[in-house]
Amino acid sequence: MDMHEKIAAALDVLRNAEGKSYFNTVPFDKDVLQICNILLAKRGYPNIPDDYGVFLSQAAGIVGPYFTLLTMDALPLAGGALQQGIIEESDAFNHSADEDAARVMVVGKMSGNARVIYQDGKYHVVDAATRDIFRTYDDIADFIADTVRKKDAALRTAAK
Amino acid sequence: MAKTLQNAFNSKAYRHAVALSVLALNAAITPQQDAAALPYVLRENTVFEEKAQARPEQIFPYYPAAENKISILSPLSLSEIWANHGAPGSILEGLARQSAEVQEKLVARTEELFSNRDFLTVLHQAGSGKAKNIDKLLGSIAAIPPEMDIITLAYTRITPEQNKDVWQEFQARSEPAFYRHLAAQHADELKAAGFCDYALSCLSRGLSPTTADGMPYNVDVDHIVERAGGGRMSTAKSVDPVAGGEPSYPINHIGNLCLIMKQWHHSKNDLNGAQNIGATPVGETRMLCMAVPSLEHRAALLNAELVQPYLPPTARDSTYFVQGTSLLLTQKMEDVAAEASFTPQMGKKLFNAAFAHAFDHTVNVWTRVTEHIERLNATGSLRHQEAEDLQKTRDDFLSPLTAACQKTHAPQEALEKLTRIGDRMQAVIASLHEQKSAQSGSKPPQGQKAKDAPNGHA
Repeated sequence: MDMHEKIAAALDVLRNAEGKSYFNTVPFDKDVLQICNILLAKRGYPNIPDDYGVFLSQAAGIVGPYFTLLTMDALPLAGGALQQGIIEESDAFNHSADEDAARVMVVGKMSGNARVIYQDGKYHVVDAATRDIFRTYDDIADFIADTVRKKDAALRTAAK
Repeated sequence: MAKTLQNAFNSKAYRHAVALSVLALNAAITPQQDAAALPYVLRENTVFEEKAQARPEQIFPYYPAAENKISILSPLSLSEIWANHGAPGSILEGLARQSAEVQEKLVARTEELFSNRDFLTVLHQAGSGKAKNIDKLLGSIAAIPPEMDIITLAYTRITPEQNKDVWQEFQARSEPAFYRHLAAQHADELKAAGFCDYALSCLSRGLSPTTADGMPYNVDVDHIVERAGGGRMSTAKSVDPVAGGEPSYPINHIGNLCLIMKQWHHSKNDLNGAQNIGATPVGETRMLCMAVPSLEHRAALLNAELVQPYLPPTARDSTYFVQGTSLLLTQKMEDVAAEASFTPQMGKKLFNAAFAHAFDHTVNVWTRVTEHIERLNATGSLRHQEAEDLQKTRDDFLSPLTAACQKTHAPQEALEKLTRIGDRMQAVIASLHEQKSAQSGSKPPQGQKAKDAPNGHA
């Protein structure tokens, strides 16, 4: 299974989950990715990881009850509010942190004040305040599938 | 600058400061039997030297005859009030570096802040750090919304492993239990705040609230006492008095959780970050100031207007809402436009993928602010002096955004939306100029015609 198929399978897990998520479906191709990487580089961030680029080509950002996965644009929230994009969330995360801490790219958010960051070739779910690591994944497909399965399992347990 | 001072002087917050100053001055000149009971240190004579030079005419160069304004000069500045409370010198220097807007907000918070016995400890901790961090702390305190209280409490850092365990418990048990509790006990409050029936059904299933198409509401679940700094609350389990069931960490109990607007949660996190809580060594305890929901809103701190809490009743303050969102978008578009590899053919595609949602939001905020200003103008609440501020907001934030959209070859309909907003703002500005002309019996200023063209394009 290549990364394209793996991400498609993970997104299917999310589509069939207990709670509904909103998928941003605008086209996101290599040209757009290239420009986005330029914007990131100008602000001192690394390029969008390859697998995340594949994810964006299938869903240009997701918001919902399980997690938020960001894109370069903001994402809509209910009532006309806005979830800011990768650059704004990364800037906020790095601004709040200890100034000696490494500058990292934030690609997502989870409840309990957690952020999904990309660092050293892996995705980490970390505490936004302390950067303590809660979970680590090799690629974004693993993050999506595992997070949905864990949350749905918790909901089933709680419902008993 | 003089106008800014005058605006600050006439604001409610500044009048509050005047009252505080008078109280502080009275306290300072009243002989005390028990000096140890003083909540402040006695002032030094030198503190008042600069203030002695101030004259009312320096504060009111444009409106010396305004009869409905407070026309007394506060005997104490913000720094002086904080000095009297015992704030260290580095913090006082930091106060002096803050903008009038930040100072105004700090004035409104001063009484509350110093009612916390340990606030001075927090200031002394921060005062020994870098100036940049002091500025960050003061700015973060000022940014806490009035709907939240600021308290001081001990922060005892737990180990990363323990923090992880507490977070996993929150994800698996406490968060779903809290949502079900909200659905059962606070449904009316949530409906009043604008949650739809589907969102309430999500909550009753233990899921965070979304619309029927999966779009989340602009809320987070906040730990009132911070999870990573909960000390025993994050290490010794007990039965949640509300949720019952198996023992859980008290930090995750329903009584320590609050459904809170995202932007308020960010403000709270910024205040924590400004105190560098992440650098607290494991096992150590520090005194911190933290923003918490007020007692009556411990379960859900929401606002019925989830997009923006409100637009202030003055043009100057309401236009503030459009500035940040416009600047962010303009800067990103300018960066793209400056890139050699960017081609006009990519314009629409890039706009849809990278800017469309932020653009729609920005237009929405501009539209609301414009409607608000039009209403103020229609009711005669705008003074002709505010034409200059409105013109500046339009020129500094709307026109650059329009230009950036043109450079990045944004779709024509996007440009037209901005043009329409610019035209409506210009109509208000022109109306204010007409009022001024009618009052003075003179013609509108020369050169106004050029500025009246949509978005500043003559």
